[in-house]
Amino acid sequence: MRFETLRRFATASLIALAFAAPAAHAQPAQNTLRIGLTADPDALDPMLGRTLVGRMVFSSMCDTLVDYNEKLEFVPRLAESWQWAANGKTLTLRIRANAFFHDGSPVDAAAVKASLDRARSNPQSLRRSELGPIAETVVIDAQTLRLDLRSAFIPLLAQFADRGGMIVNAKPAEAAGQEFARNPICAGPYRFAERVAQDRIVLQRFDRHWEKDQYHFDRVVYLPIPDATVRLANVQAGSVDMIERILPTDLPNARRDRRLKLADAVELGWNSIIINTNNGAKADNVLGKDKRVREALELSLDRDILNRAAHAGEFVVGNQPFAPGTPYYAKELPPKPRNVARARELLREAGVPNASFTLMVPNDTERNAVAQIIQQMAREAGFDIKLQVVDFATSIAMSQKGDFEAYLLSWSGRVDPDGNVHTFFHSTGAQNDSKFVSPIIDNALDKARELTDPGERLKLYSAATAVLLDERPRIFTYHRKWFFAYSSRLSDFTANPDGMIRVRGLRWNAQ
Amino acid sequence: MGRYLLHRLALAIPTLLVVSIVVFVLQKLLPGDAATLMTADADLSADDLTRIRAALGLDKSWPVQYLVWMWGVVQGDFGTSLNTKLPVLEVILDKLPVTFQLASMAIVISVGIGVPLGVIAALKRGSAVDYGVNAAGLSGLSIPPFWFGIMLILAFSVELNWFPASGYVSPAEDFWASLHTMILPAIVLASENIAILMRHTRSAMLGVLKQDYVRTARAKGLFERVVVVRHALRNALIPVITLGAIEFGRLLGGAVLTEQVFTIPGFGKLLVDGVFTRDYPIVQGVVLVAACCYIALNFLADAAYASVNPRIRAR
Repeated sequence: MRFETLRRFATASLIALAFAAPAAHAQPAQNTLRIGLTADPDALDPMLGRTLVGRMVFSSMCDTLVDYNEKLEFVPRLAESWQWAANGKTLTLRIRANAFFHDGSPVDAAAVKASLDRARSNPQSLRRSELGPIAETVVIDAQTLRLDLRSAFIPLLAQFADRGGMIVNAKPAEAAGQEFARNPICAGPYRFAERVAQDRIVLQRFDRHWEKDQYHFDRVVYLPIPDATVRLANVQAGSVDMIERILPTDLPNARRDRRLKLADAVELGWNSIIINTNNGAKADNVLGKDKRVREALELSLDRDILNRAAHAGEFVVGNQPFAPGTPYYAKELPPKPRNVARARELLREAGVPNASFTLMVPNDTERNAVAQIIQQMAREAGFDIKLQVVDFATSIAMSQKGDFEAYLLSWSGRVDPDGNVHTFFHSTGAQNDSKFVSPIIDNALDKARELTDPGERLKLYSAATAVLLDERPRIFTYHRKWFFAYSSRLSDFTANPDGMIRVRGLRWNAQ
Repeated sequence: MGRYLLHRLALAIPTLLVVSIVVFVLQKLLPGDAATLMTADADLSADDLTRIRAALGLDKSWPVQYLVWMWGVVQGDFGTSLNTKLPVLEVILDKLPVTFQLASMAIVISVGIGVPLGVIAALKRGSAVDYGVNAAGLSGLSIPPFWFGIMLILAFSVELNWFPASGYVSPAEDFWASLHTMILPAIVLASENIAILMRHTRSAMLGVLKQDYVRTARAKGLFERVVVVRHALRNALIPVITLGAIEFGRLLGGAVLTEQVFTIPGFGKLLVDGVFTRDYPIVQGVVLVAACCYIALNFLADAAYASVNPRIRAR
């Protein structure tokens, strides 16, 4: 290529760019809401969904039987009312008469039954255990469905506020098989329009929704933006209208920005150090076998400093599977302050002044920082902690096999307390990776499943918590806050402790 | 010539087979599978897991799983993503133009900046300009792409609002918007290659400028510009073009960090997410297609060489 040609090409390119600049970055129409998510959701079929970001999309697309508000009180959705039998073994749902699936067919008791039966029986379903207590679904009339349970199971209602209660049109779902996730037919305020993997999920307003007046956007677009700082930059630049999960370290920047409004809520989940007390050969060490060593580890930690150093003091410290301020937090069992002298003493009593163990850490920025701070704090008491950083899937596989001594893990939380403890601490719990066994806990957690009275349930959960705090198969550290940032042109958003973005009621400011 | 190229093409098939087997085995050696990951956020009993593994075909032996996948590929069915349940081929075909566009833009920018800089540095060897260009090139090579990307976003998207902070627009939808969206990521991706191409052009030019025919051209009284562009650069570019082709092939394999920062739905991110979620069909599919692209580029380079170099043709 001749020099002159090169020069012409370069000039033309520059001119083209100059013209391109103002043309792009066009704002979409005002009635589209663009939400930046932390990751690309998984399968868009409530029966198969497992991720939090997936739930975020479902919350606009798939109506649940019930929902809960920010105070965690149940509110009607597709089920306009419900009634527990006195023995807790039967739940009768009254299905609203004016609900439709996105293909126009009505949502009645038979449709709800078909959807629940699909989620209960499909071999790929992730909902089988959650809906496991249901023995039979019986259609009483067009709007009434009775659920007969194997035994009393009050947490079922909470499953109905999550993916277990998202009603899909079962007939096309059965016909489509796993293809259904490509074009799901639910009964939510927005219907599925388009998905480009890792790029966007587009939902279109469903005009026959029973509560359409509460939804003020024609389209809702979900865009995965994995990097937290970039996600914030996007909402600041106006490329999206709302984002979830701002890093605590980015909050000062977000708070200064007048283009943004912020909202937050303390999560229902928890963060903890799981200790292998009883799962295979790796449990056979001082940390797993001697509870004095576990106590020393807890006493060596200063949760406030951990919170300040790793999370700019924005999260909430905690020592229980329930966050302070939530209904099942045992107020009489607050976190103990750091006591390095006592920790050293305990280690001496246990005969291991320099107790050593390996802490497995899933590889992400937050947990890496937390692990390093724990390592340094515990060193002052005499602990020698080795960090083993692995990818998330590997950490889960190793934890299930008992191939760990201690493991740093979070739980996203469930609205019913049962979902935050039973699977982790009951001796039969699928996620009890420590294989920790306590008859007191088993008894309390089983009994709490049968009771509706919150006061009675609190007593049982507090009894279980007391054992957990004494035996320490896990050391709870803190509860995250869900931070949301959204355009100051939006109003009426309420953050919910479950971290979901509910589009209901959200609107552009009046012009 | 024809036989030579046919021979090269025939070699591609065992190469692809080996690549797919190696990737398959490596994935299987990682602890956990797609079903394991499901337990992280759903309450699943051991029975549930067994049932799910059977439904996904993960309970079969490794060779059977591989052969089932390969049999599908031969018939044009790359399987279904375990994570999203989307057809793998469809997902890959969605990503291919994105990755191709990003790689092409990055290569155009790299060549457009790297080659002239290399020429200037060679011509001004040992001068302040040479050192300056080298320092700038090395900075480009040393700056981590995620940091550089975030800085560009903060400056040009958040503060100046000249470019969108992230995302992707297809050229078919809006050509200028597409170009506009991809400029920042292409610059980030090019920053590394600019340095590589600059360094190679510089050394190639230095070699060529010492040649007799350059001295002859100057002796003929040709303008310096003509000597440099027509006589020196044309010869110096041959190894640079080869390098450019290799770099282009590498970029087609995906640029994870750049894609992550700018949220570009390309190959790199798809592949990494696939590995982390143990989405075997996605990883297998992406690697196979990326390997095909790489082999095709190598094949084209071989063909080009063969057409210009009689010694290769005769082999």
